Amino acid sequence: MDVYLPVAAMTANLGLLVGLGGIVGFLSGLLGVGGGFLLTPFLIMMGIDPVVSAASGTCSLAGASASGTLAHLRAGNVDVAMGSFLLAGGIAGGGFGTWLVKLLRSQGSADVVIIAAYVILLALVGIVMFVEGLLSRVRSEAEEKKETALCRMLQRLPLGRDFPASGVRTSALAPVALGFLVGVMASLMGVGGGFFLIPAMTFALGMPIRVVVGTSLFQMLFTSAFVAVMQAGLNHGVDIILAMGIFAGSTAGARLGAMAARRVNASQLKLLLALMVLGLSLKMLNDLLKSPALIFAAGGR
Amino acid sequence: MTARAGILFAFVFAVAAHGATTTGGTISARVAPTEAEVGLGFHGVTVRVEGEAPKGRDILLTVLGEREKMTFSSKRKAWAFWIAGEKVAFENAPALYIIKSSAPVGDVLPESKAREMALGKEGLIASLASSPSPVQLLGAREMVRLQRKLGLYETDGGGIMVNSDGSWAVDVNLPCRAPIGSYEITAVAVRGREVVSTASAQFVLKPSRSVALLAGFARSHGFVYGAVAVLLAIMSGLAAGGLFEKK
Repeated sequence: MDVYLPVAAMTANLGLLVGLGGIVGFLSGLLGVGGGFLLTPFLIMMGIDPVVSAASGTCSLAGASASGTLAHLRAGNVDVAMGSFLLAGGIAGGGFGTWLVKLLRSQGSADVVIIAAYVILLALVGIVMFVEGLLSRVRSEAEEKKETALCRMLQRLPLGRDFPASGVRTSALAPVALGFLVGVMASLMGVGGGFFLIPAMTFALGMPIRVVVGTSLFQMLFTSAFVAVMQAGLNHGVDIILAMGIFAGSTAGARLGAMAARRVNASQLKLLLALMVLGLSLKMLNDLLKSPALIFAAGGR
Repeated sequence: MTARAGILFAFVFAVAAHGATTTGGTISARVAPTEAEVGLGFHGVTVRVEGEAPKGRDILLTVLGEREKMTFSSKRKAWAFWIAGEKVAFENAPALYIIKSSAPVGDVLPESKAREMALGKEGLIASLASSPSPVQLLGAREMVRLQRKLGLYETDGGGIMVNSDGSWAVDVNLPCRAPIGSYEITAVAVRGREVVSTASAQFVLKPSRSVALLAGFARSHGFVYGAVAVLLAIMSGLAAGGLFEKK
């Protein structure tokens, strides 16, 4: 069944959108990755404008992270103080990123920058996932809890304070800076930043994994909601039909992925996904390097 | 677009008005349907254009979307990457351009005449360029290639079936990306590589109430629209979460 996307001004197959959301949601539930980093490139490949793809993906992400955030809040797994600092940075980064998209779009280089950012991002994610997949069996829990040198360095920065819910002490500047980076990524690429934020909170801030996931979701919910509103207001990029189609698939897919996670070998799947992500990164890099079929790009009417 | 090209467009479409009209009394053109709605299930529309012409005439048909200013960024290579270069603007470029013909355009009209009347690929490129300089022509050529890739320009011609009694018909497929607005459809009868008469008709693509509401709201009240979209997504997320928890 085809559906017309009023903001993207084109028709897309609804089943394909829901299916794509479902696959991304399934991977999210199975492997604990957000999946936004996979969604936007696939939407771009479907011929949807990169800005609309990223903005609508962010909107669907707000919906997808809402129920998880609520569940973690109820279970006491959210460090609201830490989340608020992350959020402050996220909102500043989201505002900056949205302005950056507007600027790049007016110059006609938004497509190139978004694709280039994806090449770097997917390569990093692919390498991290691959290494994690290889190490996940041999790494002990004690090693994961070990305080890193980065943790100790951040503790020495000004504006240090305690975060009792996480049981850590660090500079308030650290979560603000992390949030800022995630906000910029959300605007530019339509990703929640979980793949970046979760390891960063663990290794840089020294937070326990129980609180990391809930706090990351908390930050993701508000940052993606803010970025989606900004993208809609400044770039007219949010297509509600597109966002809801993806959301419908991803919600169901995430539940199925969570159920499947109890039965399959996640580390092997992580390796497979890592290879897929690296392959996608190489394909996009090739697109960026080879002579374009057209030397024109739409630069606004 | 130059004043010269504007005059040429005006020549071709001078007879345009609601419904079908003819000049020279030798060719007629009718469109069915005369309008279509772009709803949430829209995936393009096929418009049937038909009419009558005296025997032995070749027929050319153009479908033009509303003219507007289009701005494009050229790409240039910096280091190993292709990045955005200079901006190129085309004044009064048609949002959609489709040409159909009963024979290849080059066989029907001399190249100079086709260029003069903005018919066919080369004619369209010449009409878009603001000057006949190589840079402008290259820009216009690339713009046409881009629009062809998007399915908004169709410059190959062909497709018109002419029967022995002089009646003719063609199906014109407007793609799902076809912009909302009115389309000028012009049929040209040619004899001995000379234009002998023209007829024109109009087709309107209008948004359904739901599409008009959503697209209009998104454009005119972007922040409010964004807030509503996010609120809807969050509420759906919470509802879905509650639903799965119950199960």
